[in-house]
Amino acid sequence: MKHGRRRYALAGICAVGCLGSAAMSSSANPDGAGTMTVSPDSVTAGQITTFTFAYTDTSDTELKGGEVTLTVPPGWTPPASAAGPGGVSASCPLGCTVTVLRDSTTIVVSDLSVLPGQGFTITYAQATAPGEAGSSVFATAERSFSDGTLTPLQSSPAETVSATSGGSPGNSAPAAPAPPPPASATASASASVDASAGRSGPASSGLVGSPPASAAGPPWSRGPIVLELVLLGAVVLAIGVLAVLRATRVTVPARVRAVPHAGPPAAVTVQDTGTEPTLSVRIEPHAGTASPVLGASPVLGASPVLADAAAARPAIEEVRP
Amino acid sequence: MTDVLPAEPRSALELLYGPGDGAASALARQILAVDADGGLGRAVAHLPGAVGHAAAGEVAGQAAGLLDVNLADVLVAGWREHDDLRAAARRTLAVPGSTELVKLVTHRITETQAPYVGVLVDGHQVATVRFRLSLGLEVSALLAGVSAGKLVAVHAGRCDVTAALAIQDIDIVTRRARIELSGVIALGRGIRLLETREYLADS
Repeated sequence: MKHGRRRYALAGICAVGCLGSAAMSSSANPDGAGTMTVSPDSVTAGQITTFTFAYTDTSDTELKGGEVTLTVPPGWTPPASAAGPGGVSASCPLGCTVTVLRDSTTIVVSDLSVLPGQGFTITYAQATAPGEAGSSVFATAERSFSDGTLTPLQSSPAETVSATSGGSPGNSAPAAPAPPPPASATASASASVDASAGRSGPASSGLVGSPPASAAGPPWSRGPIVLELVLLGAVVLAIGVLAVLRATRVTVPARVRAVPHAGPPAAVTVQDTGTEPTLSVRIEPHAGTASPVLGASPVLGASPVLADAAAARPAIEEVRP
Repeated sequence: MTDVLPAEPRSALELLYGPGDGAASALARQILAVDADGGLGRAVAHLPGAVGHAAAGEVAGQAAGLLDVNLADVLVAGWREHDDLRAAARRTLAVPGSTELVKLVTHRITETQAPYVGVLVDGHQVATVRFRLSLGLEVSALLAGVSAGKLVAVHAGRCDVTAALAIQDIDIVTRRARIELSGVIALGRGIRLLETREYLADS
């Protein structure tokens, strides 16, 4: 019983600690931090170009489970999860998930981990610029942790679209009207890209019937309610596991030791069982005689004691006790 | 169950279980068999099976040490009680340098030991396994040399030894063997047959 209470106390401490750490994380890095740049930053009207958006964390602390959104302004090729016009991919050294919201022009890079001073890139491929000159702002917002609030950056990247000067741009394809998004993108404009460890891959497709945009990404990126539900579920799960452990009475391996005891002193008895008498032959040496050793029986000659008494003259007698 | 082992055993354990390292494992099996419903079984009933077997193994290991009784020591202990040998020892002690050859009457030496092993689980004694070792040594045709109150030679003789082991008062095994005594007993510079004070008085 004592151990069971201890387990529940530990579970409570763990739950409080988890909630506390989640609460503390939101204040470590301000939302809306960092910079986003685009390259190239100017195109001609109707030009098809592949753009690279580079985000840099300018704060002193890292992003952990953070999120960055990039909204493609009207007139541009809508972003798509599939490769091709508007195809989106990302390169995140520490991993991230790229999502294009359905029926939207917003690119979401979630589950972000970025070290201070470092960043990641978003590739927006084969995008066709608007047919009219002007400036297009790609609105960017950021939150540093999963429970933060998406906050616009102080400065979002802008693309300058200049009017055509009677010819097509140097390295660009001929101007063409913005194509409609691919069927797959319109039907299901949600995709995820695993871009961990600096490996950037093309935006994947084939997500027909995927959940709505608000449900995409990891649970902690979907708002505080989902986060609370996740934590509540974790606590309930922990309590359940502890209850199962208590019910099954996991036994700590016992230490077994055997201690020997000799017991009471051994009882030794001796009893004559034969009928023949005991015979003894005594050999006594007498010093001072010069006579050699008398001849003895073979048995006597074998005795080591007799050999030591070679200089003595033994007297042999039979003793009958 | 009584068997005769052809080899000349040096200890009771060797007589009961033969030479080698198999004595402890055989003892462990017998302990578990005997104690299926006994104190040890009840004591470790709440423990996992592996712990129960480990307990039996620990008990057997300790019991093997207790049962490793040197048969020569039992013989000498018996001879120290034999009146004829003691008398010969006193006579040789009284006459320095004298030696007696004693052809001893056939006699029987018996010794009973009752060691036990306590089983402790997490420091608490939960069971006691009791053993009873009975040794009977029938000595015949013994020709011994006695000098200065000591047994200095065993020239001839044989010993028919019987060992019986009981665990928790249940007879487990009985074995017999014959030992030729000449050269078997390490006498060194002689083994005292009398009490220490008698040697001090003589010196």
